[in-house]
Amino acid sequence: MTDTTHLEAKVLLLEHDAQQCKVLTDFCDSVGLMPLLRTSHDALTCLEQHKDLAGVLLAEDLPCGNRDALHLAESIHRLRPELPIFLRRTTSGDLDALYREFIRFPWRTGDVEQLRAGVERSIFSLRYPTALVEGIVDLTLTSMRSMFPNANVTAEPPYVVHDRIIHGEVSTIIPIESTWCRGYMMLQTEESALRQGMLKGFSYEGVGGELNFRDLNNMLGETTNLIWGAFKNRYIAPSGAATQLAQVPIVINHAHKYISFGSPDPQLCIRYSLSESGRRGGQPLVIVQRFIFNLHWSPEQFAEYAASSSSDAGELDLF
Amino acid sequence: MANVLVVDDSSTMREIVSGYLNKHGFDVALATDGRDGLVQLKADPGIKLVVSDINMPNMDGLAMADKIRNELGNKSVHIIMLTTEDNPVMRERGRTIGVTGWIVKPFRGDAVLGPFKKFCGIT
Repeated sequence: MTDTTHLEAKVLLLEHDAQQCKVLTDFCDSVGLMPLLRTSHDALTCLEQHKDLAGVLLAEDLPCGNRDALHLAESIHRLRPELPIFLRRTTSGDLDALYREFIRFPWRTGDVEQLRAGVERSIFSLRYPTALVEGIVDLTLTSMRSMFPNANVTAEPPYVVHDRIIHGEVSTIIPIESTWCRGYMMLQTEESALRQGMLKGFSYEGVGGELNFRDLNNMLGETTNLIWGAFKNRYIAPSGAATQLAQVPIVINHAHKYISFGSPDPQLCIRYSLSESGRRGGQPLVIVQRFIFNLHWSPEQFAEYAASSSSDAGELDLF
Repeated sequence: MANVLVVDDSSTMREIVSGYLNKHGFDVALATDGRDGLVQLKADPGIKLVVSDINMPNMDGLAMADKIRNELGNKSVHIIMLTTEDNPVMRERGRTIGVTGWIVKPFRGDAVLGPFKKFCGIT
């Protein structure tokens, strides 16, 4: 069996009982969770400050002023629906259906094994081979050091997150595909920090152009490309890689509402407006559709394989 | 007139490679993908060396190399692939096409300066 790394994850710990706090801190140590102990008053602020959380441990009898812990759970869920909530039950009886919707892991006080099972099933649902995690860090450090040769590049210990929040304004995404995995790699950073790094001379002399946002996007894009190539060379069998199609990083800059697929070619764009039927005026909902054929485009081979009419859609086709 | 053509869709890589080569006495022309590379090569008969990425939009580097050798019939220009690809099947495809050499990124100028000067007749 493949040796897997037990990665760490940060959780928000909302607990007031000193004895339970000790139990839960020990539990967190044993499974690789890093607890951030907070009160009900600063729970939501903590969620804002710590985007990279993996879950919330909450006591049902947590003092919450004139509300209760279940209402706090509801607020947490509204703010960060991706975070699993582990509720330490202090009362008997089933939770109301309303609360069961967002409290996915209630557990009985004292039954740490029930909590452990929930944590394993949700926070640590994917296990990553140790060699892979170590290798990713190694090849990424090499790639980053080659792109930023005058910077001191280090990596923090890897951990798992459950948020879906993008760090900073500049991000890239590139598909990772093999016989044993299919997914994406992303790099995310803050535009101002990247610009500052370039001004400090992290990269080669003269590289980075005028350091406008497109230049900065390109720096992150090329770093992505190097890591992607190194990953492919190390972890994808040559026979598999030979059948792979070329990929280029997709670069997104949220601050400028910018997305690049690596090609200066025009994109096919169609705008759709949705407005209230029977009413005139008002702002319509505009949905923009774009087609980007940046990796391959041979319109001379264009062919149609099905009737263009949509009248058959939804009809039963008997054989 | 240039003696080296650098083909890469990444402006950062174009800056890194051309910056190094310019500093060491080369005259560098730039292209953003294989299609652009073909246009540039046809327009400048002084180019003796093409340094090209593989994974690029519109036309990849190996397709460009194939066209240089077989459509343009240019057998003399040296073609070096500078790529993240280290796949033996792809390398073999490059060899069959007539690619001169292969560099796995990242680019290290000191490792290629000697051969590049030789290809371009720089002493």
